[in-house]
Amino acid sequence: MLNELKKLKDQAIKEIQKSKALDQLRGLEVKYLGRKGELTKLLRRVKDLTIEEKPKFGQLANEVKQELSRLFLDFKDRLEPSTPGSSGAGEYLDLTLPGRRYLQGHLHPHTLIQYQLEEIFSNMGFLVLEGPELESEYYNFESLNVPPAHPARDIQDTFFIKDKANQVLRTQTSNQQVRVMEKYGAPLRAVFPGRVFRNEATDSSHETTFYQWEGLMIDKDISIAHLISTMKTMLKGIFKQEVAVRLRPGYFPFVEPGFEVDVSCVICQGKGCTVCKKSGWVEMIGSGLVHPSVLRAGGLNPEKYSGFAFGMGLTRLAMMKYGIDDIRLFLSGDLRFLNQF
Amino acid sequence: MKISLNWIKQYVDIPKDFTPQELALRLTMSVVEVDAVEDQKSRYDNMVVGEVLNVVDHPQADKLKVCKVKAGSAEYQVICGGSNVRKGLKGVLALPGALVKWHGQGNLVKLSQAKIRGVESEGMLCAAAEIDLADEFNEPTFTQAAAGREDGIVELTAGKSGQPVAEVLGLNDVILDIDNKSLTNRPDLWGHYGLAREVAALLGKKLKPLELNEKIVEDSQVDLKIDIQDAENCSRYLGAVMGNIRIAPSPRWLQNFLKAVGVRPINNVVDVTNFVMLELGRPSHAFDRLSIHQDTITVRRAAEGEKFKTLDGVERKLDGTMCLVCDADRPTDLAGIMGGENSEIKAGTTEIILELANFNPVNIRKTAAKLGLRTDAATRFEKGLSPDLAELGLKRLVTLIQQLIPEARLLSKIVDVNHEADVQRQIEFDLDFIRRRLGVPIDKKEVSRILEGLHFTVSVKKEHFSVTPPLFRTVKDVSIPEDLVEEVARIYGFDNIPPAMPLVSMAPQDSNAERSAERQAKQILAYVCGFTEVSNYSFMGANLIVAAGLALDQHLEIKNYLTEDQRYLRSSLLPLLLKNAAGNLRFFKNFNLFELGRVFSLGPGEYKTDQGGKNYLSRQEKYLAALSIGPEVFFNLKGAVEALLAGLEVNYQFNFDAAQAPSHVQSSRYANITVNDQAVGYLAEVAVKTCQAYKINKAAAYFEINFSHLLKYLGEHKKYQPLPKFPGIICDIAVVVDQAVRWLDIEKEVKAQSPLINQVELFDVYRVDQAGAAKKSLAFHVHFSDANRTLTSAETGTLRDKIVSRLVKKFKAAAR
Repeated sequence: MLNELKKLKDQAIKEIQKSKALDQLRGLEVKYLGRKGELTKLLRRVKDLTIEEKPKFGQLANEVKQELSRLFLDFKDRLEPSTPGSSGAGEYLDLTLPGRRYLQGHLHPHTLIQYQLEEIFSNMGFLVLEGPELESEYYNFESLNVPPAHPARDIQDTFFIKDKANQVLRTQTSNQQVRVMEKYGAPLRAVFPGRVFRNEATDSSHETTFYQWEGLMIDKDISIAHLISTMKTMLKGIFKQEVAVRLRPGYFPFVEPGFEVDVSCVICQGKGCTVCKKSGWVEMIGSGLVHPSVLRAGGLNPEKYSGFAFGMGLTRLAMMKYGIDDIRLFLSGDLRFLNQF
Repeated sequence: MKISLNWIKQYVDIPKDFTPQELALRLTMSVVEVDAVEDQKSRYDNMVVGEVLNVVDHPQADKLKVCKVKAGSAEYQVICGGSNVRKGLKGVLALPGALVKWHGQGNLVKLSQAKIRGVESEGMLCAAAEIDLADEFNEPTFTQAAAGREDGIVELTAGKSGQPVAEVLGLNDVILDIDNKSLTNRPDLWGHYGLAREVAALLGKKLKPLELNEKIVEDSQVDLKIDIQDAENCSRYLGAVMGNIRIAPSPRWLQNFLKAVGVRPINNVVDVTNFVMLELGRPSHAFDRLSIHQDTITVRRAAEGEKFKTLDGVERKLDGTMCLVCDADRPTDLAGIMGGENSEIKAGTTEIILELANFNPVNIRKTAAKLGLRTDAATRFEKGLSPDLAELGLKRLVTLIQQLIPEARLLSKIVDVNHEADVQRQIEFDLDFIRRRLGVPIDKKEVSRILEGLHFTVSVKKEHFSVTPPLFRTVKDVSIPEDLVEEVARIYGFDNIPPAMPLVSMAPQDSNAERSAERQAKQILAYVCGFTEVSNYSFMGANLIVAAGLALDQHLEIKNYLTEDQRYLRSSLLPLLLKNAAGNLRFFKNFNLFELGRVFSLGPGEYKTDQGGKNYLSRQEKYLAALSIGPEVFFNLKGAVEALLAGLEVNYQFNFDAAQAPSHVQSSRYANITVNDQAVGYLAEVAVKTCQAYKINKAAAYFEINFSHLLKYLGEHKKYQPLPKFPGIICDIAVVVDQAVRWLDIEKEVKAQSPLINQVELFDVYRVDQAGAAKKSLAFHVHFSDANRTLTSAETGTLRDKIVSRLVKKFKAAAR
């Protein structure tokens, strides 16, 4: 009987595949799977089998029934018109062909990471402000408590403009601090993304042109605790996980106190790797409470207001986030790089 | 800067269970960044004293010997090529795992057991250069029997067989390497005593007082004359003459401290001045008295072009801003940077003049930079030393010299010419101020304890603090209450401050329309039109400017440019986009690039140089530009401009005035873009000569829009139109016209035929050849509708015929 069942299956498949019209297919379905069909007939004879044979036969009969049902459904679909309004059968569609290719553009990684940060800070009510890239020495240095003889002016290798005394390519987005205080007063919370320039030789981790992200918040009684909390919120937003931070003293003339914020290395989860120089920490953010003389330069009364400021390398952050090992790629204009974002 | 832990331990007791790594971390978290912790011993790991028991010739090599070497109870077979190897010699036996430098050159190599010319060697007897001891010329624990010959191995005069070599050499120090950048604002930390003070404060230990000879006996045997002529650059000069000096090598302890931090011992007097500098951060200088004419010290400005030979033997050409210390006749010292060869301490020196001066930090920094002479002294002076350190420094110098040379004594009075102004240093604040800045309700006693631990004088009345900083902390470093917030916070531990979100008014801040428009523009170009955003440098070279047909004299120039190709500030985004295109053509056939960035021009722009002033910074407007390479490149880009400006809801127009086309585009394929009759940009195919100049061998189209300008015209113009109540009728028309007939004119003409036409939509354009002439076929839908009734097909049929005949008449069109 097992053989009969197999024969029945083969015969049915052959006939289904040959069918040309829906009516014909329906007839076959009745012939094989109908109440008085071939399969049912065969099944009725199951009582003649031995106890050992019964389960084996039952299983196979079930399989045959399922396979034939599937085949009927499949052929019914093929024989039915596939387009509304047409009567003929549809063509075979190779569903494994790739989908239609849309022209796909790409935003620069700097832009993408800025959008992320902007969202985090907009949610906290920070303004996003940009300022001039060609800046006066006043806003780039003096207003930030960096007088002409200050060593910081040597350290930050500045590009000067020929025949334009007093104009420099800004070395830091901090140039915005006093500008923004002048324009908006206090209370104030704002972030400044932007391009900055350093006159230094380039290599895989140094560029003449890179992006920074700076933030400033001024209100009554702004404290170190507020700064830490804001930094943690920012980092969690960027890395989508709680990131351990540690603060240690750092010197920037426009803050007092000033500190470096180290971030637990996200590459090695703080275990120590080449990115963090085996320390488990990556130096990422310079920050502090706004120096009273900077507040005064911005026309604010340091007796009444205090604030925090922080700045970090946006390019560096993008390198960390995307695992980019050569900073020169950012401004290369190379589509092989840019099309990855 | 290198800091010796043994040296620190002279001043503060560090608990035994406190590891150097823990100390480094505490310093990093509260004081200065420690870059590395180096254990001196680790360099000599797996090296022991080896005693040679016997020596036989190597069977395969003439110059090699096979030695039996005993180290403690173990014996090793070692192949050695040292010409001085012999029975009984005690040498440095490097065992597998030791780090050696083959023949004193190249990188360190980890030693392993090996066969040398077929004979097993279980270690190596080292030459001095192979284990970084070549410079230890007066190292008392070993001799170099084969000195002058590079094939000689070290012969130890001390140590027992099997004893670790580090122990024999007395290397038991740990060196902390401190990041100098983290010290720029703390001149007091440029010496071991200053750091020890911080360590004491961190660990709650007592800082041991310096050993000082409080009663220095002065004399008037020599009349030292000091004259400060350049008071701007020298605010104080403290000098004294000492006699009965005997120049000799320094004792071992002193040499070890100096060597540990990378300073070469020279002789007792010079070493003491270096020691005091490394201890207190206070540089000083010692002259050979007999070389100083007439016991006269004059501090003056150098003459322009004046020459002076510093004690490194280099003759230096000075300028009129530099400061010199001179005797009665000639310069003897480049102030604060390096002494002169003419007055240096010599082996036979018996009398010295000690100098402890305060020099102008800015001038020192500039002079050192100009001369390329950044000495340890200059590095410290340029941080701005506390003026009062001069006296302490002198006392310490005299104390130490007398310790080394007991018979030495002063021959003169201590002469002090002091122009330093007295500064009031008291800082007043309330406890509440500290608490509010920290964001922590820190205890009053804790604040006092921290500040006193750092040697501040604290007086508290109720909640009010009056604090006087110690003399070694400069005015630049500590002068306002905020400076004390830092002192308290760093010792309290920044990490012990629990984070807290600020509570603020929820009044919204202005939104930034420019930023939103930028984001929208970028997203349309990237995600609707399929363009890729590039970011190019703000500067470029003359070659690119000229190749793009732009005028070089319209560009701002960088005064201290790095390279020729970064010399001029870009005035247009075009040149670098063309450069991007040329580069990408190596890998891609078709592509679309865009950039949004600032370009720079000569005239004044919108930003002021300062709030009160009348001057403006150079113009630096934002431009949005794109460059396309590929088929139908003009229309590809035109579509992008249309999508972009429609998305930004700008009512714009294209104008096809070839006369306005710039020279780097094809004037017949040029459209300028206007809003309210104001030009905001243009769209064009790039001129063939320009493409060629950039080595682009395909058609390229470019558009640029002055984005700063465009912002003025952004609007929200969307307004709902009621849906038509009556159905419209669409007719299709196709005509063939000459190539030169413009669609814009046809469209206008069609529309003019009836007010019932509300849309004319071109759906097909192709080229046909008729009677040998190239013509174009245009097919378009005409949408008819009326707001108040249903149109009849007879009505629109008549209108259709009217349109066709009008086109035939006006444009010599042939209906199809």
